[in-house]
Amino acid sequence: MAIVHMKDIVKRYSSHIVLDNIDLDIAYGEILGLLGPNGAGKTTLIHALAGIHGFDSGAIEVFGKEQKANLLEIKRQIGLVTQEITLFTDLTAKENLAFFGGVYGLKGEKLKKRIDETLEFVGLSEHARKLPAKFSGGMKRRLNIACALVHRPKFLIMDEPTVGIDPQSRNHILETIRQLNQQGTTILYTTHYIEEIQNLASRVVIMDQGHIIANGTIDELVKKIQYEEKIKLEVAAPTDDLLERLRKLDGVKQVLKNEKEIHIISQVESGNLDRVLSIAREFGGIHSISAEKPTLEDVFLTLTGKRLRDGGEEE
Amino acid sequence: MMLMKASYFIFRRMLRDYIGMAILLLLPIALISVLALIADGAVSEPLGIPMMDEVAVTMVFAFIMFGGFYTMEYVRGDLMSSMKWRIYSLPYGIHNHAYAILISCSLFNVLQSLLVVFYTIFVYNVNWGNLGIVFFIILLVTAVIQLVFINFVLGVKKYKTAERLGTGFGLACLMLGEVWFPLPDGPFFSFLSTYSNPFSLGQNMIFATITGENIEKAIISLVIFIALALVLAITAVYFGRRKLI
Amino acid sequence: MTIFTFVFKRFFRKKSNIVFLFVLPIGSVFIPTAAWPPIPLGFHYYSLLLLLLAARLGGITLEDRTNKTLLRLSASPISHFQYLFQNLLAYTVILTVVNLVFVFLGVIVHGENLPSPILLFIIYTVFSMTALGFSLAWYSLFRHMETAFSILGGVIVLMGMLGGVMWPVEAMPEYLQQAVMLLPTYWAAESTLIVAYGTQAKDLGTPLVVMILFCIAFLLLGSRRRLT
Repeated sequence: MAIVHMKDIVKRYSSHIVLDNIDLDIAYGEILGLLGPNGAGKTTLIHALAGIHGFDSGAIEVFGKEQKANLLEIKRQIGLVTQEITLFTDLTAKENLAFFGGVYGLKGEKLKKRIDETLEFVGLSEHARKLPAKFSGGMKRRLNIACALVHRPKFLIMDEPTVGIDPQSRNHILETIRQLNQQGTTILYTTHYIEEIQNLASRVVIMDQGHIIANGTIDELVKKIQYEEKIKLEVAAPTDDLLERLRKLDGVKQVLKNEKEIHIISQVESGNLDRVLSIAREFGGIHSISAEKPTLEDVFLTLTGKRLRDGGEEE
Repeated sequence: MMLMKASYFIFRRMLRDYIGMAILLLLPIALISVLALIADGAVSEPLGIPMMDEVAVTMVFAFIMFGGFYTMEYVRGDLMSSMKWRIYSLPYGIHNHAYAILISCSLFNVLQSLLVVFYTIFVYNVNWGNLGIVFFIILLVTAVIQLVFINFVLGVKKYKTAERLGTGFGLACLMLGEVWFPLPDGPFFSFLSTYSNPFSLGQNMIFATITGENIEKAIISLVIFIALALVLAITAVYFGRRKLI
Repeated sequence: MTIFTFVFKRFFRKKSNIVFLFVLPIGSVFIPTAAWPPIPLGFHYYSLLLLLLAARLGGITLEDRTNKTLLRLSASPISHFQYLFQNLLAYTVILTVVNLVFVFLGVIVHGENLPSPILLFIIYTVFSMTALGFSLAWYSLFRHMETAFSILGGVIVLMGMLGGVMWPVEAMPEYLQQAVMLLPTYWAAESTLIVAYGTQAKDLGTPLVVMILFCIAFLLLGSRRRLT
């Protein structure tokens, strides 16, 4: 039984198609990782799902109910953690929670109890009466998450909740997410950090240019490209000429340059390792070469031709 | 050399500040145009000059009183935000940058005021008297105002407070200069409305160049101005040393 | 009514906002009657103050939009209409209190010289709503609070001049006298003049209705823009 059922979702901004016939199901109780390069349409998808803006065609069902007709009822049970820190800077941590709790219809003793529990849950109880301006980056992020939890949503949407924070705070947040999931919350999670997905997600969806281009568990996705290997080559001068020559090799699927390192994704046992070596030698000194089995990051690379953190969405 | 270069680039940045221009250039022009609708060739009583001329002078100086916001903004942006670390790391003294801001903001303000002056000359035939002297007076008043504002921004802890002081200062000048309503009679108030603020002082000098009367009033104003500029420059340096280094 | 109550919490957290709300109105109570119009001057200028105060209040909605808390709100089970309505209601309450204080002080200071304080209070309250609508519409045009607010100052003064707050509209050329009827300030000035000249209360009907219409038009304009 799916908590979310999206069918043929199309969203255009003037002539530009941002979501192109998206079909997506999210099962009860899972953590679904949503990956995609910049401008893939992740945030648009999330906003459509959260009912923030409409879409041009298609249908969304959440909790088994048609979205448009039951919008407010559905929204009441969804939590959205925004990519930006969207807190009222002139309200204390506690008041922020009281506000968002109130907007979701909580009041009185119940609201008070929930606020205390939520603060405890994200580890901000001691800072309840402080303004967010006095918080560190990690604390702001945690409060940002807390504001989406105070009404205990059944379905939580998290749009890059860990952007730009220290590893310790990140671990704390990831632990929080795991706990929530164990308590039965279904979570949709987008991030730029592939490790997070590997740690958390039970299933991964990869988007590019408004399409879903892969959908499955991490193992399934990696299996898809198990007939490929990644050759990492470090040379003195990675010229365009060299890249061009490598691209022309039989069985080579992707060639990407990362400073002095060249990443080549190629078919397994194609003998390309030797060929790469000899070509590289023509272009001068080789510092190192290695061949590896693919990871989730390579899946992403192979499918989108882009590196996850290229240019980073951390604007 | 560095000073000139820095001033030049600040000047260019100011040219792109469309909001500043809308407020300090277009707004006075708009206000003058509206006021022209009712001035209608009337003559202002005590001075014996056309009402329109008085409106023009009042508007030009009224807006100069607020021109210091430019200095304030740039001091904050360059010397008090995270940008300051970059400026501090440059091989030229931070005070040089402060001077560069002062110079370019003053010049920019003078330029804007002159544009308004020319507008009133060409469209409404306002008689400003000797334009050289007008230029000199505007330059002097502008410089003093920039100094006042730089004192505000360097002298108080919070930028918001400085901003409020700036607004309060401008409004107080206009009030003391009897722009909105006449102050009560009596020697004390008449002294206040003549010498107590840069707005009135500037007006005194301009009206003297237009009418050729009250020259001694203008000279007293000039002396006050120069003294004021000196005092403000010294306090600005004092505050600057405390705040910027 | 969470949004409604939190407007007060947020606005009055800054003590300076309280000062801002009351200092100008209280100050202008004391401005004496001038040659024109036959009413203490502050009570004729008050519509401009209301525009300014409303702008400060309405700024909260622009803040919500720029720091994207509005995005979060739109994911919550509150409609955009509810959001606007509760905000406006709170602002109206605040401005009504200010109006009340203003008129009350006016009666104390000017006594008999202040014509029909109750009618003045009604005019101000209706115009408060117009002013709030105006600020909402104004802010929907801008991305930055500072920009919107600083340009607004000039616009308010111009509207005051053209709308007959600073001088009678009759002083202006004929063609303008018709055109300025499109400014809300014209109707505010018109209605205080009606009170000042002691014309019958029923003559206030037209200006009040026009002000309400302005309010509705501004609200429609201002609520069009929802996010980003």
